[in-house]
Order: sequence, then C-alpha cells, then structure tokens
Amino acid sequence: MTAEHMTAEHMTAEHMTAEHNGDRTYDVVVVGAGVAGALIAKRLTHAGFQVLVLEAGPSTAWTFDGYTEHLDEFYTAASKGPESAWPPAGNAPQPDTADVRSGGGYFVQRGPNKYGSSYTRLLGGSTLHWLGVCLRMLPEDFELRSRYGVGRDWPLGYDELEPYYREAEWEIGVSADVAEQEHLGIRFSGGYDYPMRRVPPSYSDQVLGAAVDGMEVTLGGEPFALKVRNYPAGRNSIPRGDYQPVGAVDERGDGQALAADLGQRCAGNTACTPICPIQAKYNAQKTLAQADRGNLRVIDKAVVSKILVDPVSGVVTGVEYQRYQDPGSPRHTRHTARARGYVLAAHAVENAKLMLASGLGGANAALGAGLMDHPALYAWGLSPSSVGAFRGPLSTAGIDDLRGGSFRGAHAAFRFDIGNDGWRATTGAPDTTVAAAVTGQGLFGASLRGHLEATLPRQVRFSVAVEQLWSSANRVTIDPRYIDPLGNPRPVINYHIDDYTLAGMAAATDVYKQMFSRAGIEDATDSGNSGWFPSAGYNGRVFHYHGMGHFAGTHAMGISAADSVIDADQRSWAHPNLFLVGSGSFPTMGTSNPTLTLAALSLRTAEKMIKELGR
Amino acid sequence: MSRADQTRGQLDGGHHRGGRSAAPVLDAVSVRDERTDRFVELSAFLTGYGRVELTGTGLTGLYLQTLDAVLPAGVVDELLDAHRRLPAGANGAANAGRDVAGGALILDDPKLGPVARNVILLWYCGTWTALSEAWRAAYGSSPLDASRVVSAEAYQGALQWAAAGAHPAGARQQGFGAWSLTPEGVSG
Amino acid sequence: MNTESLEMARLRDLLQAAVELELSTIPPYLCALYSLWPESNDTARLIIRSVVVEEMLHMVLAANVLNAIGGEPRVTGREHVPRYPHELPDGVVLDLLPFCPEAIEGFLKVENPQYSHRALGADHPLLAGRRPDVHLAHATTITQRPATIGAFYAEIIEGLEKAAATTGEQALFRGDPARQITRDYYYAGGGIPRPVTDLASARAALTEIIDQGEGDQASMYDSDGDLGHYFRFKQLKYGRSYLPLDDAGTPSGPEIDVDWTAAYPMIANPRGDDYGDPELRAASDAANRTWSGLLRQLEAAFNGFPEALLMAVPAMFSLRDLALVLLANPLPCGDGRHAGPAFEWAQDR
Repeated sequence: MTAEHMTAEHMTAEHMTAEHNGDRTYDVVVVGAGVAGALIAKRLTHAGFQVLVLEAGPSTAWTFDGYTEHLDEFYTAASKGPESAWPPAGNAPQPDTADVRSGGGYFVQRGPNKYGSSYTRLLGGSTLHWLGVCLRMLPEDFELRSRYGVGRDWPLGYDELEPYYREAEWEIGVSADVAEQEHLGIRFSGGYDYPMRRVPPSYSDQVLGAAVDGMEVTLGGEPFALKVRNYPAGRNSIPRGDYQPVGAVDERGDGQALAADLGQRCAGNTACTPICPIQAKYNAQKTLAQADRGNLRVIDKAVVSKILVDPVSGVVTGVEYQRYQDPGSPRHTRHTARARGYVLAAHAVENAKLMLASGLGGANAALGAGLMDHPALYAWGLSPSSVGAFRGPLSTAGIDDLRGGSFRGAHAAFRFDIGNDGWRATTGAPDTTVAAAVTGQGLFGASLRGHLEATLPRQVRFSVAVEQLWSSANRVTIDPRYIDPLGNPRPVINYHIDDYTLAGMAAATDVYKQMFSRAGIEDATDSGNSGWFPSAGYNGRVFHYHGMGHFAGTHAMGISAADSVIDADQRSWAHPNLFLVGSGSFPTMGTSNPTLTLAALSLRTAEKMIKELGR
Repeated sequence: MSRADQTRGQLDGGHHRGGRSAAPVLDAVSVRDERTDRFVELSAFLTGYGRVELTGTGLTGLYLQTLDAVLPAGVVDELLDAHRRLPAGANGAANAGRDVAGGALILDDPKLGPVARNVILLWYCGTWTALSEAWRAAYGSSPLDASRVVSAEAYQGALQWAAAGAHPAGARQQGFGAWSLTPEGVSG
Repeated sequence: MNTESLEMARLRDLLQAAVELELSTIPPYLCALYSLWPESNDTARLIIRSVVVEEMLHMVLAANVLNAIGGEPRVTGREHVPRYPHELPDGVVLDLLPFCPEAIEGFLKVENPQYSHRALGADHPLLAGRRPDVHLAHATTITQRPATIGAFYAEIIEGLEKAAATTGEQALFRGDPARQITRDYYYAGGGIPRPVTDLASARAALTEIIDQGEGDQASMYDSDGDLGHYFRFKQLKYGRSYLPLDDAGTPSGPEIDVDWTAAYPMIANPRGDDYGDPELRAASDAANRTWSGLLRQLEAAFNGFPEALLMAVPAMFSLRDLALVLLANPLPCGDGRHAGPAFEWAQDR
C-alpha cells in the first residue's frame, strides 16, 4: 500500500497526481475541488477527519508557475471571455460561452431558450474566474412563496443562515462596510463588520453616483430611490482587526514561496474575469491550501462516474472514478473510493448529472429540475465626461434597490452591476473602438489618438442580473446518445425563460434608460453589434441576454422528500450519508451571485457532518 | 548583428509554454539602422505617438519583422517610400503638416491603405488583422496572414490602453486605490 | 547646548540617515527590476520585488523610530534625496545598473558587508566613465569610516538605550503616536510595520532591518521564516534555490531560470543631463517628476498623514511605466546602451 498521508511540506502538484491503489476507507469523500468542496474539506480535516477530494480536472493552477501559464494563455487569446485563460481538459469537458453561438459544445441544448452560462472543471473551479461579488441573499429571497405567491420557500431562513454568512465572509475574505450594506432587510449581528474595508469605489462609481443617487423609479406602483452602492467583494482590501489578507497560492516543495506575497491588496488589474494575475481575488485553491494537510488527500484528473448505493438502505457505499493522465487522451484507469460520508460538490449541473447517471434520479422528478440562471442584460453608453474607464477591478459597485419589493408578485427582481471596464465585455473595446475609428472612420495620427483619448475613458457599461424562478420545465437530464470522451453523459438542457423573468427584463430595461437619461449617458446599446447573444421576445420587444455563470436549482432543498432532493442541511432525503452542496441546492435565485450563499450553506453542512461523524 | 538576429517575433501566433524567457522578443540591442528609423517615423505619422513613446514599447523590431514576414516582398518598403515622399511640414518637422494630404495618398491607396491600417492596429492593439480576400487576390497572400494577438508582450505594450489613460487588462496594474483617483486630464 | 540635546540631536541625525539609507537602496533595486523584459525571469522578478518591498518596510520602520522620538523624517529636496553613484558607510558604492551579474554582486555586498566581492572599478566596461562623482550617503558622512551598516544601526540602538536611561523612556519616546505608520496603509509580504512607542518596539524595529538583510545571527532566515535578502540574491547568482536544510554555502535546490540577456542594457547611473534628444529628455523629466511626487507623498505619510501612502503606490506604478519607456529607448550615441530612470529630484512638479 502506498503512503497515503501527505504532510504540508510535501503536498506538491506531484503528490496530487499520485495513484490510488489501495482499499483505504476515508471518513469523507468530496467530489469536486471548487469553493464548496474546499470549504468542507478544510473544516473536516481541521476537525481531525480523513478527507479525500476527487477533482475531475487537472490542477494546473496550483503552483504559481502553472497559474502564470494560464495568465499567458489569456494575454494571447484572440477573444477574452471567461474561459480564455482556462482551456478545458478533454476528459472533463465544460461548457463555453462561445458554444452558445455555435450551437455545439458540451451541453446538448434542447431549448426553447439557450442556457448562456459556463463553468470550469479544474482544481479551484469557477472561483478561478469569478468576478468576486459576495452579496448576501435578502431575507425575502428565502420566502418568495409565502410573501409574493411565486417560486418556492427555503426550508431555512436568513436568520438561521446569518452566522454562516459571517463565517463564509471570513473564509473567503470579503471587503465591505456593514454601514453600507444594511438595506432591504439585510441585518448583521451586533458589532459585526466585514474582515476588510470596502474596496475603494471607482471614479466611475463616484461620477454615476453623483448623477443617479436619490433618483426615483416606480415598480408595481411602488416608488424606489436608487443609490450606487459598493458591493461586498471577495478581493483583498485594507484589513480590520487582526484579519490577515491571503495572497497568492504558491505551493512549492522546494524553494521560497515568494509569490505568496502577491495579492495582499487588489491592484486594479481589471481582469478579475477571467484571471486575477496576483490572486488578490479569492479562489478556492486558497481554502484548499489552508486545510489540515495531514488529513487531506487530493486526487486530480479523477472523474467520478458513478455513485454506488446499497439498494435496500440507500446508503452510499462508494464512488467510482476514472483517473486519466493526459487530459487529451481518454485512456484511464478505474477506481473506487470508499468513505463513511460523501459530498457532491461538483457543481449544480455535474451533481445532477452524476446522480442521474448513477440511477439515483429519485421518484419525485425533482433531481435535475429547477435549473436556473441569472439571464443578464447589458446596457452600454458614452458618459458626457470621462469616468476613467478600464481601471480598477472589473466592477466595484452596483444598484441593489430593485432586488426586493412587492412587485415581485408580478415580475422578476433585478440587480445592476456597474462596470469599470468600458465596453470591453459588450463590444470588445478598446480593440473594437480602435478598429471602428481606423477602418470605419479612416482616422489616423493625432486625430485618431485624440479621438480615442476622448472616447475610451467615457465608456460606461451596466449588467443587469434578472431573477428566474424554479420550474420543472427547466432541467438537466441525460441521454445515452450524448456522451463525452470518457463515456460519461453530457448534460442535456431544457431551458425556457418565462414571462415572469421577461417582464423583469422589460422593467430593468426601462430603469436603465431612465438612469442613462438622468446621467446624460448617450445610449449605445446595440444588439446588432453583439448579435450573437441569444435572445428572447416579450410583448414585441427583444431582449439579448447572456448567462452570468450563476447555475442553481438542480437539487433544491425543501421541507419534504415529496418535492425536493435534499433537506436544509443539504442531506439527500433518499441517501442518509450523501450530501449535495453548491448552488444546485437553492430553491430560489434571488438576485445575488450564489457563491457567498453556497459557501455559507457548505459551512453549515460541514458543521453538521462533524457532529455526526463524531470523533 | 544582422537584423534577422536582432529580434525573433512569435509568428506562430501563440505564446510559448514552459520557456517564457527562451526567445528574447523585445528590442535588445539598438540597431539604429535607417530602415528601422524610417519605420518608427512612419509609425509616428500613422499613430500620433512620438518616436520615443513608440520605441519605448520595445516592440518596434517585432512589428517590423511581423510586417516583413507576412506581407509579400517589397510591400513594406513601398509603404516606407510612400511615407518618405510625402511633403514635409512648413516648419520642417518630419510629420507636421502631412496629416490630411498624406492621409489620402497612403490610406486611400488600394494596396498601401490596408497595410498602413494594419500598422496602426499593430501599434494600438498588438494584433495582426488578416487582410481582405480582395487584397490577397490582388497583391499576394501568406499562411501567416491570420488575425491574432502577435505576442503577450505586444498585448501588454498596445497603445490603446495608454490612449484610454488606463493599463492593459490583466497587466501593468496601477496599484490599490488608483482607480478612485481622478483620471489624468480631468480637472478636479 | 547641553549633552542631552547633543545626544538627542545625534540620535535624530542618525535616524534621519537611516531613513535615507534605506531609501537609497530602492532605486538600484528598481532599475534591476524594471529592466527585466516582461514574460522573462519570473523568479528574479519575484525575488527583487520581494526585497524592494522589504526595503520600503525598513524605511518605514526607521521613520517610525524617528517619529517616536519626536523627529521629522525628510525624503525630499536635493539635501535628502539620494544621488548615484551613492557611497554607503562601509565603502560600498551603489550604482544604478540594469539586471546583470554585476548588479547582483552589488546587491550581495549591500545586504551582507562580510561578502567579499569584486568591487566594480570605475574603469569596468559597464561603468565606462559613469562614475565621475560619487555621492556620499548621509550615514557615511556622520559615522567613523569604515563602519558597517550593522554597526551603524547598533550605534542607534545604543544611543536610544543610553538616552532612555538618562532622560527616561517616556520622555524619550514623546512623539505623537498618530504619526506612526501601521499596517493599514503599508502592506506587502515580509512584515508588518509595528508602531514604535517605546524602547522595546524601537529595538525590535531596528533589529528587524538587520535581520531581513543578512538573516539573523544564527540562521539564514528571518523571524518570519523568509530567507535573508543576501541569500535571496545568492540564489540568483548561482541559479538555484536554497532548500530548507541547506547551509549558507551554495544552494542545492531546483534550478532557477535566469536569463541575463532578457533585460534592457541600461546605461549605468543615468542622468537627465546626458539626454541630448529633447523627446528623451522630456521622458526623463517626466519620470523624475513622478519620482519626486512619490517622495513628497512619502514625506507627507511620514509627517502626520499616513494615508498618503495610499497615493504613493499608484505613483510607483506610474513611475514603472515611465521607466519602461526610457529603458526601451537606445541612446543616440549608438554604443548599444539604453536610457533609464535617473531618480533625480525635480523641484518643479
């Protein structure tokens, strides 16, 4: 039997690719080394339990040299989308936003609407390229059904989750000021403030705030005053108390880990998505590095293909996984890992897919159903004066005021993100601005330079995330006709944007136009320019939307096994030693980015598991 | 040292993995040959940036070599000659006064115009832009004539970011809090 | 003037000299750092960067001690801004050089005076007449030569202990605590600038400066477990990392990829006056103005406005961009050397 323990000094990338040959039983097997899996692994190992983490993708970003290669990938990529730094491993395929246009790719999209989001199957998961927004859900987001008669209720409420929000904010390292965040019912326990001070607002935020703060809009007959507000961010800022900001992960067996000094503060690289060059932004590798390494084993390039279950008791007895060496070659070996408890943390879609592939869909058809996203709209324009575009984090502030209210009985709530990166995401600026001036207008020399100097700094971009409701029509299924190189099923997606959300998009569009008007921003939103975005029609209007990478709902929690997959602790109703974690557990989306909430839920589940495993 | 040895561009269109410092691609040694000087002057005319600013990107050699490699023989020299023949400005400065007239002569020319525009896009964006089918049919084609980012250094040294008063996304960070400061050129 | 005042004046003078001493190491390191081509020499970049941020910490620590005894640190004006070549108390001459083996030799000597290196003679081709005037560090003019930097700091510590005994610790450390720079505004790996309020914290601050340079007496590693600067540079010299169990000799760990050719061949000790080309001169002036602005922000930070450090960071990155333009420009004289940042004080803004 090979040596199974890895001490902190020796957990290099090499050891993470070591073969698993024995029948060793762990306390817990965690499937997926993203933020949910990493947090649970950290908590369990520190509580003394032996944890095996199986990650489908490679661990190429684990060393700083490897991370830097991903950065180089980004510099030379022709198109700079979220995946541009993170090429997929053939054996652990992942969706790409470019597939939405081409119609091909990993997802089998049955429609009627295209599902526009993507995720990453690598050690570190989607937090490698996330924006870092760490908003809490509103109290009313947990009670959508009771309050507004739409959607579902969660089996737990904001107050129950609040202590875990605080823990998640510490683990991730969130920068915000409580004074700015106490609105729309969000309450903090007395004396609490975030681990770090809010990230300084951009000049752009200040200009827009001066124009827009206090302006009133009406939704559902109710007036709302708007305010530009910093959002809580998972990126390093000035610490409070004795919190120590965590910089880059620089794992080396030999030599000095100098890169760990990088990333102590955000330095405004303006590339959070797809990659922060200095890791000032949180990524799940930081949490994994902080686990009790003597109790942790990580095997990368290990695709879990089946969950083995005792047919009588429902107890999970093991997971089968396929271990490959070369991401581009389907050659692999098969293994089984066994433990007392199991956690699926592979992502909302992958969790559901794995359960279905294992024949564990369950009787109530809830598994895989309820797939949600934040279909998001873009709006962009030219400010009358410079806003200092293309500087700072990709965004620092947004407008939250329309995240809650009684209008939610009629249409979706929505939230604005205010970009700091000009029209980069929407049109491919500054390159496209330059090309338009050179090729379209024939500018050159001093007049070209002057035009660009006068135009680029004025580019403004809003993103609006619009809520979706849980619906059984939106689901992930599998189909034996569609398999990937390792023979595992590809996700088959049925997805439809309903009138509730479309009416929300219409309301959001009207609000952004009012804001642009108020701020004197010349609206340049031109769907023709970005015509590859999928579209949906409503009341004679066409909305071009894109995914925000916010998957949810595929294994939603509930109060009974009749209509949900897991309970409030994220434990499977049918399989007592199996937990499904991640945003797949959400019965509602709200309008916040799911990461902080899924992190809080993961920590709560870890606490539960520690008590039960009871050493 | 021959001009060919002077710099080695990354014409395969990609970066090199696992050997980032293997092939020096910036202007290591100042070969002050006349052709390079003329290229810088042409570039200053086309971009509106000064000689020191352009040379300061360290990309002069790479861009000139890219042009020489992709375009049919002689085209680059034609462009350089056309620029030299433009009437000089009244005050004698190399590029002054050439603007409007020079623009028509070069940029409207069916052969040199697209090449000149590609020079501008090289400097501003660090990218090579594939020429049109019509141009290729008329003047020659090359398998290297594919739209791409020329190199990681070119991405970072692209002038568009300076024009924006900012920095290349993902590189040349400005420092904590810099984004809060009033941008250059804005009062107050 | 009574002996107390003489002692206090001497202490403040020594501490001011310490601030200038730490400041003077920064431009040489920055020239080596900025001359590296992008996409090259990743490890060298991390190593030099890590040393630069620690030298800044040392400067902050020295300023904290000076502030603690009621002094006013100065880093602006021709009187206080280091000029190059710059001679340190132990006879080491700091030159502004590009990244090259000679530069690393110089850094090794600065960080460990015991290191015997072949000093760069004024006739070395790299210098080629670029050392017409050697400027003496303030610390060099007020100490008995030859004096190591270690001895210089030891004299400060002794002086503080003696003054504390004479006048009382509280009376000695009478500076306004609000002038102390703490970790809110100074950040980076390599240490936290603890506020200095008494003899113990003053001693700790000054000891940290020595430890991070040479490693402490017993070990190559400082109290945070980081290699002393001297040993970090040795890794570059030998192209290998130190393993935790290596002794102070040659490192035996994995190879470090060092490409000495992937750096701009900056002329030694650049000076704005040497740039005949008006465009180049303008670029050099802009860099000097940015450096001077950064020094003004530092001085404000050291004199009651610690939050001014927040402005200093963007200024430094701005300086980097201006330095890069200079470094990529060959000098018109045509011998292949390039321009570079002169780090000269510019009175006008």
